[in-house]
Amino acid sequence: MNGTNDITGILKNLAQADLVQIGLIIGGAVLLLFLVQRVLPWLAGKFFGRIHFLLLTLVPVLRLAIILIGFVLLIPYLIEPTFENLVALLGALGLALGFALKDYVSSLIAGIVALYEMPYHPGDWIKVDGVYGEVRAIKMRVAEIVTPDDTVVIIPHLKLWDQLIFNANDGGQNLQCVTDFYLHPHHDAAQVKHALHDVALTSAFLQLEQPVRVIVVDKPWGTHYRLRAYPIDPRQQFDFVTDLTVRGKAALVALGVTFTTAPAIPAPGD
Amino acid sequence: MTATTVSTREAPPLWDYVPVADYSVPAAPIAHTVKKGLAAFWQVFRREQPASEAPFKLATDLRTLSERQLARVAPAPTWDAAAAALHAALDEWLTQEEAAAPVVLLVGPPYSGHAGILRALAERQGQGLVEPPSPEQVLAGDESWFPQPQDAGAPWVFPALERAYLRHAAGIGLVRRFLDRASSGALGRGIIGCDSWAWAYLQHIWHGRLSVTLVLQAFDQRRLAQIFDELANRSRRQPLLFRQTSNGHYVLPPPDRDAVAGETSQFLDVLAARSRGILGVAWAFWRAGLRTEPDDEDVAAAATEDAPSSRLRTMWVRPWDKLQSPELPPQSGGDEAVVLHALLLHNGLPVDVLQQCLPLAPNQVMETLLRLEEVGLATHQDAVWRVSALGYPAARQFLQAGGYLTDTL
Repeated sequence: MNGTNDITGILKNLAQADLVQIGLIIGGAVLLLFLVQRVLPWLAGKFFGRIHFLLLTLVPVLRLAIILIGFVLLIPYLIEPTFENLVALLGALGLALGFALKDYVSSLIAGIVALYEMPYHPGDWIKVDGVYGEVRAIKMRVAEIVTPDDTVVIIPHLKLWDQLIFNANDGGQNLQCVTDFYLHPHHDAAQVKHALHDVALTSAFLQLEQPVRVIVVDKPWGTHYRLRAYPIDPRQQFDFVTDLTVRGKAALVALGVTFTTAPAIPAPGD
Repeated sequence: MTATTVSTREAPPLWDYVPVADYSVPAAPIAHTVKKGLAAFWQVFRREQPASEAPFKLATDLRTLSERQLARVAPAPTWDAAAAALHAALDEWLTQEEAAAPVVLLVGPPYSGHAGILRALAERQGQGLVEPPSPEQVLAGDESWFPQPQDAGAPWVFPALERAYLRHAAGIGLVRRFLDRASSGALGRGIIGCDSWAWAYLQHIWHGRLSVTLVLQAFDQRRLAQIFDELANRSRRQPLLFRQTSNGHYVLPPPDRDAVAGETSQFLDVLAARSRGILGVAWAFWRAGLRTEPDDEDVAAAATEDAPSSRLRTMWVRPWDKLQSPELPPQSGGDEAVVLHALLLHNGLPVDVLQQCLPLAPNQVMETLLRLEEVGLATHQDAVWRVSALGYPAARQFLQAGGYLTDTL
C-alpha cells in the first residue's frame, strides 16, 4: 500500500491519470446505458411474444455488463492495480457502504442476484407485498411494476431476501386465469361443469394449447366453480376473465341455474 | 429477380391428394427470403406514419387488365379435373363394400377450393350432397340436417364442416355429435370437407379421430406454371406468352422452351412460397400482377426481338417486389387479431354472427372489419365477411406472431 495506511494513498495522482480516457470511458458507458435503456424497450415494443420479452430481459443484463466493464476499465487509471491496493480499496468501500448505505447496497446486490436467479423478468406478472402488476423494468436497485390500474409501483430488490414473490407466468406466455362462479347448490353439477368448459373453449382469448380445468367445490353457502384457463397473451388476462364471466353467466342462465345472492360470509378456514 | 433455368424434370400431377402429414409448403428462393428478412428488419426502424397522413393511393396503373380481359387470360379454376383426381384417389375406398373407415376427411386451407372440389365430386357421382346447417340451427343444436346412410352404401358428401360449428358456448355441441356419429359409422359412409383452420380448432374441442385425412398437395412453381398456362390457353389457338414487365424474363415457360432465347424469372417460385401453395391465393396474386405492357419500351423491343414467333401475343407480369400485397396497419392489435382469427376459424361469417361470437361490442366488430377491408385484408360477399385471398398470407403471419392457433398447412 505504498508504505502508508492512508486509504487515499492507493489512489493515483489524478494529474498523472489520463483524464481524457477516464472521461471517454465514463461518457461511453453513460451513452451505452442510455441507448440500452431507451432503444431496447422501444425495439421490444415493435415485436410480439417471445422476442418482446427477450429484448426486455436483455436490458438489465446489458446494463450490469456495461457498468462492470466500465468499472474494470477505470480501475487502472485510478489506482495502481496491485493485489494489495485492490483489497484495500474494495475493503474500504465495503466498510463505508456497509454502514452508510446498507439497504441501498443490499438492494443493489439483490438486483444482481435477481439477474442471476431471475425470479422476475420484464413482462412477468408478479405479486409482492400484496401488489400485483406487470414488471415493466428491472433497474439496478428496484423493479418497476405497473398495476392493472395503471399505477407504477417501485419495488426494491431488497424484498427478494425476505418476501414471497408470486410470479404468475415466470418469463413465459402461460399465465393461468381463474374465473369464479358461485351457484345455488341445487343444480346439475356435471352439466354446469361441461357448460363452463365449453365457455372457455369458445373464448377468443383462449390459448388452446393449454389445458382448461373446472374445479367444483361445495361450500355451506352454495357451489363454488373455478374455471381455470390460459389467455393467449398475459396482457389479455383481464379481458379474458371478463369474457369468461360474461359468457359463463349467460350460459348458466340459459341452463336455468340460480346464482347465490345472499352475501357469503365464509367461516374461517373456508 | 435473378434468372434460373427451367426445370426439365417430369411434371408432377396437378391434382395430387396426400395425407396431411405429407403436405409440403413450397420454399421461397434464398435470395427472396434474405431480401424479405432485411425488409422486415428495416420496417421495424421505420417511423410509423399515422393513417390519416398516409398519402392517398392512386390506383391508376393504366396497364392493368379489365375484368373482361382477366376473365380471358386468368379465369377462375374449375374443379372437374380435381374432382376426378379425388375420385381416383378414393377409388379403393369407394369400391369397398365394408370400408374400414366410414368417413374420409378432405382438409384444405382457405381458397384451396376443397368445398368446390367436393361439390363437383358429388355432382359427378350423383352422390348425396349435404348442405350445411344455418348459424341458427348450429346454435339450437338442430340435427335435422344430419345425413342418412345412402342406399347401396354410397357415400354422402358434406363439403363444409366449418359451417357446422360456431365458436360460441352453444355452437360446438352439434359438431361434436356429428363427428361422433360420423366417425362411428352411424351416419353411413361419407366424405367430409373442412377448412384447415376450422379443423385445427375442432381437434381441440373434439378428441375423436378420423382415420383417413387427405389434403390437396400444395401448388409449387411447376404446378402453378401448368395451371396458369392451362387457364390462359384454354380457349386459345395461339398460346400467350407471359413475361416480366421489368426485364422481359419469361414467367411461364414459352412453348418449345429449348428453342427460345430468354431467361426465366423466379416469380412463380416466390408466388408459390408466399401463397403457401394455395391455388386460390396464388391465382389472386397472379391476376393482380398481370399487365398489358412492360415497364419501358426497351423491354418491349427486346421481347419482340427474341420472341419465338411474331404471331404470339405477350402478357406482362409485374415483378414480385413491385406487387403490392395487403399488410396489417402498424398499430394493429387485439381487435384486428380476434376478428381475423374468427373469420379464418369459420372460413368467413356474416357480421351479425361474428358479433355474437366475439367479445367486442357490435360497433367495434364492424369498425374493425371496415378497417381491415380498407387495407385489403377483409372482403365481403353476400353479407359474409372473409379474409381476402391477397390478405391471407399477411393475416396468417400476423396471427402466428401473436401466438394464435393457426392451421398446419
